[in-house]
Amino acid sequence: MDFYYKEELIQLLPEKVAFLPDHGILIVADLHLGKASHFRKAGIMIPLPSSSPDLKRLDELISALEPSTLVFLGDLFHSSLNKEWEGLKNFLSRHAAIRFVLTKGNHDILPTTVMKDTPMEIVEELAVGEHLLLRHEPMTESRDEKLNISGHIHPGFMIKSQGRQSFRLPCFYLQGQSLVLPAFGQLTGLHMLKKEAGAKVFIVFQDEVLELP
Amino acid sequence: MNSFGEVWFSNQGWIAHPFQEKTWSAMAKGRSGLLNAPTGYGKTMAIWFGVLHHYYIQRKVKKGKDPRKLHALWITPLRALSSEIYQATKLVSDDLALDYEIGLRTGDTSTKIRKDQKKKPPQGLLTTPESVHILMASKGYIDYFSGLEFVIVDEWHELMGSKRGVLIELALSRLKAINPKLKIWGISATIGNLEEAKEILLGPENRGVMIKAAIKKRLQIETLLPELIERFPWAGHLGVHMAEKVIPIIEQSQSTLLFTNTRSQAEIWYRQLLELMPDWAGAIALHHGSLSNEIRTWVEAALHEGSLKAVICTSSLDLGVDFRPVDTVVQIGSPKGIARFLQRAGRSGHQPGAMSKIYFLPTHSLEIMEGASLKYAVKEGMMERRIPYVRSFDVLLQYLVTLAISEGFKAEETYHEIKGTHCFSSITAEEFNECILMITKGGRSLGAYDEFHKVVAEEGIFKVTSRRIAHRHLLNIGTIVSDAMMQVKFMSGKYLGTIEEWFISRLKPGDNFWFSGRNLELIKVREMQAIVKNSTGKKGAIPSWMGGRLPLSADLGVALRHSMDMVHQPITRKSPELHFLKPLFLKQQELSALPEEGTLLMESIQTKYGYHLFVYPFEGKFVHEGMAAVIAYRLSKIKAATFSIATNEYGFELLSDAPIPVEEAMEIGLFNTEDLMNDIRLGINTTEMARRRFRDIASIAGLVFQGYPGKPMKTKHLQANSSLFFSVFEDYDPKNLLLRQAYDEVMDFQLESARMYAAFVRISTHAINLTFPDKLTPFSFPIFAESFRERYSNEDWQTRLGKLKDRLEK
Repeated sequence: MDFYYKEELIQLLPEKVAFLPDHGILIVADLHLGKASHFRKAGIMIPLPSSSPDLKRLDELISALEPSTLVFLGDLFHSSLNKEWEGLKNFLSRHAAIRFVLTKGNHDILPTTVMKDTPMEIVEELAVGEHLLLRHEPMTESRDEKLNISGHIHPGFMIKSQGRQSFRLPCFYLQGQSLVLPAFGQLTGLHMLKKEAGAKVFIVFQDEVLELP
Repeated sequence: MNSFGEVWFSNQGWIAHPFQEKTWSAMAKGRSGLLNAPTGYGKTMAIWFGVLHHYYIQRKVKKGKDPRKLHALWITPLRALSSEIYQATKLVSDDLALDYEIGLRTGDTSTKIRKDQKKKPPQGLLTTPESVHILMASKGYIDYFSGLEFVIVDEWHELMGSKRGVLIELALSRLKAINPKLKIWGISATIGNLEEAKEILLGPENRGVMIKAAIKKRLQIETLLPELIERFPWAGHLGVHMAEKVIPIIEQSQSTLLFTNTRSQAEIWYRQLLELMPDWAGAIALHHGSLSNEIRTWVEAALHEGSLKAVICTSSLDLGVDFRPVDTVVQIGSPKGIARFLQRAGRSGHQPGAMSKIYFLPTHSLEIMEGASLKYAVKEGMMERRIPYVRSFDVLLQYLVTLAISEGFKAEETYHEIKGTHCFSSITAEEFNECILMITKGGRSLGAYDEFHKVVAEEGIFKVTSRRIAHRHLLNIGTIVSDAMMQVKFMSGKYLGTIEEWFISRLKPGDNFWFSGRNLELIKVREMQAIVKNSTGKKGAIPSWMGGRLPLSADLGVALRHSMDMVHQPITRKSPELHFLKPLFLKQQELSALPEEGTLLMESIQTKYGYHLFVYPFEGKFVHEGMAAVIAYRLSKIKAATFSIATNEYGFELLSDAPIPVEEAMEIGLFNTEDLMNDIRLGINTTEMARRRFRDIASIAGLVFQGYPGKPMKTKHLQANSSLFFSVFEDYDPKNLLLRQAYDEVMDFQLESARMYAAFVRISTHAINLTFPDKLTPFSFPIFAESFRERYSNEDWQTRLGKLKDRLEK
């Protein structure tokens, strides 16, 4: 699904990421890496694959889109340091040619020393071009007519179909100057939203993103 | 015989029933057993004097030198029941000036009293299955239970059919190991598999005795018939149009219980009765599981005093305490089962010798038949079986951690103990090891070491060392999983009860809804609380609570098929129900045919909606759902098609936009049992069903933290919904025991595959009577009118989603 904000082209992909082809920027929100380990530490038995399936999916996206920059929109790492951090560091070094930026989120509680030990740039927000502003949490008021691309919310939408069936699906949620991305991480839930007046909802299906009529 | 019993009974001026004397003597001989007696005839005393007798004989032998230890444990499913037994047994100790002390330990018991009970145990303790496990989770429990002689399990028939029964089986396996001389007594109402109930409770090595009180409660059943059959609807399930029929019954009775099948139906009936009889405000009340404890306790107390004319209730009043003033019971709509009907009937006429009177109020015309079927079933003494849970690994995992919290356990020993229970008799060493692996390593080893350590082994003893994990586990003990519920409260903070979150989420502030028999206006929603105020409005939504839709039992299905067959005999006034329905049957016969024992009626009808196929196996909704999917699957093998499926208790409908190749399919064998299991697997989307089942399993096994009762969750960062867990397990650990359990439960309890198989076997020998009516018949219309429909096609979730997508694109 492509759309333009002013002259900026923004592609919403069914992989639950946004891509800015003109800048070569891939935007990924809310990975919540390390969540499985965090659960396990608390005695909740959840299986932990030897390498993160989320990072694997990112590998595939990178080889398909060949971005020059990858922006994590916060909540990259769910908890304190655990084994899955190593997996992330390996991932980063696998893609040494790519610039990585993290706009810090509320779950990113790792100490700065640990964070600095990676090639990631850590910022509060990142301006792209003249019209885009990337950060973790959606802003209540937009600045300078810029489109604010954010995560944090894990937006989802419930579609009803015949036979009283309903599906809860992740979505991109655009309202005014705010575009909220679905959470990328597999171990994340959905926060159901309603379509407000003037808002656009882009539903993520298996292989396509479609706008809700 | 039993000196205490005899003295006390003669003091009261009573004579002991033979079943009471039999129980006393069996207990004096040190036997275990199962007592089957109706409520209100002194089953508590039958057991209790056996306990007292044993205690004082033993004390004489030992000359009372031992320090006081817990002597008897009495487990009931309900707090209210525990308190009633507490009152009764305490009265005995007081009357006879005995030093046998009795304690009560339920969720309501204060921490101080619990501590005292721990330090200086009473001789007898009344408690719930969950509380027994909590006791086992505390240090020193082995010593605490070391003098235990008796465990009494009250209302065992009720517990046995749920996972709470598994809690009891596990607790008993441990208590028997601590005290091999332990005597176990169950008290059970009549069920179809009483002998099995005894075996499960006592264990295979303990034969025990079965004592049946040969008391027949007198029961009168009357079906309330509408004035005119022509005006009576062919479909529907509320029955409010019959409310006027109930008013004279309530007026003539001292106190009436009206049972509905759902909470929303109870709310609707309460409102309807008040509309018809406004001056009954205050004299009638509402009682269901979503109302606050305070309201329910008040209603129960008022029932005891006899100050209420009528109470509209749900299964919330099925069990438990007797209300002596209640002399009349009305069952609104199908009771779905014979046992439930009798249990409800038994809520009236509690004075010994009194007659239980129950009225059956049908909600649509065909349901009138059930009145005749219930009478037949009761006369023939038909009764449902209770199906016990087996291989409930979720409960086992919880139990293992419970043991690990307190004294720790040895794998070999515990394996041996649980292998002796009915639930886990088929567990293999491999499966048990996998359970151990789950609580120690968090599942099948996935390579590298990580920080998972819920339970650790220290010198062969499995223990929980983290206090945080222990604390969280304690709060999670039990098998009752509640939905995401919102508390309904007034501004003042007064708590009314709970409603499912999704219902409130559809309302805006200012909207009205009915709850607790009041019209309420939603002011605001704050976290998990809906703040409301009273409203004078008359309009408003009525919440519907999920779940609670029970299918017709197999035995009532048999009775119903029998009544259906009676239609072919000359109908006399001896069966008022059949007589009343005669015009309807004539209409059915004119348009199509009547079902008959030994044949299966199918109707192929074309309407403007498409091509319908109606089938009437009379097997209950759940079985029909599965059956319909299998039949749809088999039909679609002949010709690709998509069906819309509707079911009710009597039959099912397949609706298609193209002609259905029924005759062709019949030649091949539509109801063949060959390949049936395979067709079930291919025809029914069990993954979605298992995903729903997994919710409870994940919670019981401790994957999802339920949080503190009544308080909002504080451990949000540890939350993930069970559906997420389900997907992760499917992807990375498809052989996981809990996952497999979810699929097994779908087969056993959702699809009732055994029953479905039996139904296919039965029908495969039947002649099929296929008719071609030119319009909908009295039998088919109620199915056609079912609002809940399911779609069937060979497509899976993704394809269905694809279709949905196509619609969006148009």
